[in-house]
Amino acid sequence: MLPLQRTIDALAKSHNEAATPTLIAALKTDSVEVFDGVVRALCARRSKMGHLAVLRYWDVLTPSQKLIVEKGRCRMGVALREALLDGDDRLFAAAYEFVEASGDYDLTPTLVMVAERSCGERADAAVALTLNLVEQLCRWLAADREPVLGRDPETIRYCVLESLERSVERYRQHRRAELLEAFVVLAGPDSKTLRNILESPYHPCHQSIVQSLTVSVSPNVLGLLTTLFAYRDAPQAVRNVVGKRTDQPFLDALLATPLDSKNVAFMKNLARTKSLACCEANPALLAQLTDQQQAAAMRLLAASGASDDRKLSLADLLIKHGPVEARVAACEALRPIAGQRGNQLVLQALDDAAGEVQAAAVRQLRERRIPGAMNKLLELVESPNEAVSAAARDALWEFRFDNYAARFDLLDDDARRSMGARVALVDRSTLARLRAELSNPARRLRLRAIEMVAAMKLLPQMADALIERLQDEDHVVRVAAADALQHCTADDVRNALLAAIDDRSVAVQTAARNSLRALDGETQLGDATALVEEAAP
Amino acid sequence: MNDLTRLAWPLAEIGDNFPDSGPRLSWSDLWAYGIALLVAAIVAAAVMIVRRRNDMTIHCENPWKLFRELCLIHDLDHPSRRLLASLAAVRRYEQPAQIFLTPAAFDANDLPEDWQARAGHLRRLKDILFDKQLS
Repeated sequence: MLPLQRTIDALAKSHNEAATPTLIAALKTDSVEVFDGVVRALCARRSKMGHLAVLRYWDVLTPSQKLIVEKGRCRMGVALREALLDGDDRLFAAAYEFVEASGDYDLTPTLVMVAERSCGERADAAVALTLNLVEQLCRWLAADREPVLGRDPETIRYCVLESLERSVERYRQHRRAELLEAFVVLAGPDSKTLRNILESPYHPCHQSIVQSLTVSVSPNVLGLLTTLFAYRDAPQAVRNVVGKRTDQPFLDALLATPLDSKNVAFMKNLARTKSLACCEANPALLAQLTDQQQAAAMRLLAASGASDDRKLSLADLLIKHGPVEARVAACEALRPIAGQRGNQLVLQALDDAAGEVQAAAVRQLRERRIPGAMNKLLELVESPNEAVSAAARDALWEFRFDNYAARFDLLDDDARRSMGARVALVDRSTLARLRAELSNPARRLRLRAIEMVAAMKLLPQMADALIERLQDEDHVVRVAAADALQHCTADDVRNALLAAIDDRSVAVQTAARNSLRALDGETQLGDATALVEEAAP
Repeated sequence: MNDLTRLAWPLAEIGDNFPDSGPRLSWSDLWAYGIALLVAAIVAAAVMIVRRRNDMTIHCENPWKLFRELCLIHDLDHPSRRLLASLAAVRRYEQPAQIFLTPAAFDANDLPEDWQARAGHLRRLKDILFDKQLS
């Protein structure tokens, strides 16, 4: 070890208190190496006098020397406290800078005391530094305790919060609203003290805290506000603040909160909020919002306890001038609102250029009982836009094959035909289901399937499946299939019917001949008839 | 002290067996014990003082003891210690140990005339106490 280093180490560790004045005297040295060593030794010693002496040199220290001092901060608490509380301006400034640079949370109670007991620059500086430290701590907590600094941030939070809570209790004396804000930020949404204050309008801090929540644009305050509103049973004061605020940072925070119907707390808070100024039908306000935010605003207003008129006004504005996402949200928001104005907006949305908007309108067309809705829906089933078509099919849920099959036997012929045609149009699985029914092991169901094919006027599309039925084991089914095929004009049908003339069942032969005659009648061809005549016994 | 006791007791018992003679040992005969105790106390105190003087782990505020502590750390001989102490006195340092942190103090140019003869010793001491680049 170098000799000077040995001297420094000995002075740093010496049990002789004379080492401190010796080191302090040596601070006047011209040698940088000696100065560095002296600073290191003074910081390593547990001596308030020595630490104060180092702090007096703070403004002339190089960054590396400041780093040396910061490393010894765990032993400098007393000196820093004295510098902050009773030090002259130079010492105060040095201690302030030191705390700012090192983030020494142990000094928060002292800073709070300075902020409370004095006024002027020092108090302002102490308040600013306290807020800084609290924000830093919140960032640390939010970043999942990264970087790891040896101390648990939750423990630090607990200690800092305790001193801020004491300050809140002394609020009548010091009237420092900034300290309340620091408390609010650090207390978080689960603080009982904060909840008590927010729920007690006559609490000395109530007005100040509400004011802070109303005007602060600090991300931590906004985070607290949105958390209280979206994930907790929000006190009336918080709901009022949320209802009033329209500033951009708040809008960004609130509208980024996902609206989940399973989030009971959020839905309950929204339902109890009678007015949301940030979601009013205000073109100037909407112009500041992104497409997603406009949609989110509509969804929030729709879930809120605001009057239907307000919801309709915003929906009207968005359907007319909003982006696609917002128009869809507006359409969906109209769903629970009955009445003529809502109907008009839905019909207006049906003519929208965007398929998603049309689809959103289609989904509520039937439940609104708008005249002509059924025909419109059947028309929209064939829309080239897949979303619209799917929405129309969903709306015409009763025209499903299952439903039709279940009622088929109960329907008269006209009803079978009219409903069958609609089912064939609406339910895309109809052909596949009919094929499955035609192959059903139960004879009765196969026969019924042939009847359904005919009623739904799907004979040309199902010709191949019917031809297969000409080979059915049951002659009654074969007769029915041969009979049904008279409406199919394809060549393979004709050939299949000709083959069926040789069927072992006379009834099938007759039916095949009849069908071939009917086909000839339709196609004016004589070949088949000649063949029929030839084949006749 | 045990030897003294052994010497004193036989004398005290002389004549004890004569009738009506009574004990011959009076208070004035205890001077030997007193002297022995006093010497023991002085020796003990001296030992204590010496031990305490050289025990650097005891908490205290003694500038000269700190000076000695630093001398011990650097293994300085007695002439060097005396020279450093004189230098600290000439430089009028409030804390004599400050000399260990002030390389400039070893420059003999600004010292009185009688120090010039010891300039070489001072230079050697400076080399011992400080890094080469500081010397």
